Amino acid sequence: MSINQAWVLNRKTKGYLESLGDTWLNCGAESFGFRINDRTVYCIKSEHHRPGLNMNPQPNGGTSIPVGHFIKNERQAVQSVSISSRVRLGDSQTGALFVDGLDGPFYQKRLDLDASFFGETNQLQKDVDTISSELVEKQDQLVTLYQLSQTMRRHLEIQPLFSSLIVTLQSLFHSEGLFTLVSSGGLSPIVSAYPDNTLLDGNIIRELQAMHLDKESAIFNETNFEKIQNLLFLPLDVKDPFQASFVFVNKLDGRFVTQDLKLAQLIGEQISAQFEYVQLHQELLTKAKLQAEADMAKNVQMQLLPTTPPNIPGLDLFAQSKPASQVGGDFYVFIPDATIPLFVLGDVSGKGMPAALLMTMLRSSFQSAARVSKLQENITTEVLNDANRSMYGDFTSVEMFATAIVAAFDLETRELSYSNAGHSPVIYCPAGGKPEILPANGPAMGVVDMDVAGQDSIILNPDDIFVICTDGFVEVWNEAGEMYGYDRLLDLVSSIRHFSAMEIAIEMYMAIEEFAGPREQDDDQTLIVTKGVDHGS
Amino acid sequence: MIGTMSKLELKGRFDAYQAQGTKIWLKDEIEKMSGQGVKANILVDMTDVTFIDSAGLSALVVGIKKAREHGGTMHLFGLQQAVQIIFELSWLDKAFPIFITEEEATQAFNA
Repeated sequence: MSINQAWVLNRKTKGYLESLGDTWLNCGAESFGFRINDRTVYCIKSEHHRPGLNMNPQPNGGTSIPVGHFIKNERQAVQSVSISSRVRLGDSQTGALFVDGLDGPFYQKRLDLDASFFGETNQLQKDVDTISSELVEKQDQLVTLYQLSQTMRRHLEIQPLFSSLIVTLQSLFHSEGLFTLVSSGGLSPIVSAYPDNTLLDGNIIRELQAMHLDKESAIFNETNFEKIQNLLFLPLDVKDPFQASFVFVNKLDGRFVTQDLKLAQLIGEQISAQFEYVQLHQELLTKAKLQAEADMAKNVQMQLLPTTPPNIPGLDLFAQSKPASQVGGDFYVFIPDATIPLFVLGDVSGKGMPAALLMTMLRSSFQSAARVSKLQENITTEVLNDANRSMYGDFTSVEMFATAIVAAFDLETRELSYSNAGHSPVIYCPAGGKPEILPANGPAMGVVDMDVAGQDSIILNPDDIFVICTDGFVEVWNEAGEMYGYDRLLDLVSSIRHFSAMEIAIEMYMAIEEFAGPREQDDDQTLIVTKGVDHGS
Repeated sequence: MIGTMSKLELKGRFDAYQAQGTKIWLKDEIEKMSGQGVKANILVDMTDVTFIDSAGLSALVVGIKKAREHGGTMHLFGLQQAVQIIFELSWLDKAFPIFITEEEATQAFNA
């Protein structure tokens, strides 16, 4: 406060002066007053001194004062002063109490005491006022902080969270404007301004982008920018790849102070934590969505691979598929309504969703090819060649291929003919003989753009076994680093040959699971077990 | 004429872990040779390959198809017995030109 600034007589001080003045007038004083820097800010006169309540002109040009009234800035109001005493006011101001009409050391001493007491009271009053206003401000801040945390909790997406924060923060820091800078993965930050863009220009944006990279909170109370007098820069500590900063611009009531910075940093920590929580929430949501989609894909694939095969007279059939991940590239399909009952097993190279997508296409190709074929004798060759022709282009463009086997069973001759496009293992185990691996008779699908499928056949009498499985039954590794391999697989089939098709399948799954031990299944495992049975049995 | 040929040496278990890198190497090499105006002939040394799975086979299939698209082919040599069996069972021994020695495989490019 400067020396020239008017001293404000507040209600409490006025009340105190009035009671002091009454006491002096009762003692016989003609007037009592208080002046600062030679300006009278309060004066009260006795009725004896000034009869009547009218404002009459004074002989010396002064103004009469009604009894009980105080006046300001009226030096003329006081004609004479008997005694006066200095009052310490602080703030480089000099004040004095004065009395007219009473004189002598007794009254002087009493006035000195009053002046001293008045000075102290005045100072105490000031201190109380300061503390009260600080308390009010702190309380306001606490309320705003509480509102801020409530606001933050309501938002689980980044954009609405930001928008809701902006209004509250701007009012909390009494700033004319607020800028936000948000960047992701090292890209240039996007600068947004609130309530509008009027304070922004290219120079400011460049400067702020540099500060955004430095990630240091700071106050600038002098700037070279035309529209910006001061600013408070607050980087948030958010999780990679995001980076965010708040910039409070032009404090409405002066300059930014250290307390503002401390408060901003405190709030920044809260916002960062919420920001991270929102990010986490979004990530979990995305993961949950992906998981739900993967589960749906798995269900669809399981629907495409029924464990109950159709009834083909003369055969005991069982089929099953266990993908290593949610979905896989293995498949089988039964086409009992072709000119002769057919079944197909295939293995698209690779795993997961890419293999699963191609698998569904390939499965459909086989079904279409089987249903349009009019052949009986060479149907497996024709179906395999047709499916290869229709899928070759797709296999080439996605750089994948598939092994597959198409088999047909003629009940009259009990001949099981098959065209095998690079698939292994295919095991034939006659009832009285040793199991053997039947090699492929054509290249894998998607390898050659020509009709090169071959065909072979076996006789499947009752109790003979024909097992097609995928390499997930061969390339199984145990903890010692050994592979299950063909020899173990053939021995296993030999030892369980007397079981039904379903029992053989279960035994095979159990055997490789036991062999792998705690190692996770890393390849799809699919099989079709075919066992000859008496027709009608 | 060895000048128009690139050699790839594979080692150990040729499975999904090695297949991806090999696939990329083959594609880059074939495109580079094609860009230089030479036949994309690729010689693959399988001498030290102890095991190959469908991912490994897939990389070689993609490679030979690409080489053929660019006027070349792919010759394999030195297959160990376990690997040879896998090629035979999957009929890929008919799809790939397979040779016993490096010399045979190299000379066959000029045949």
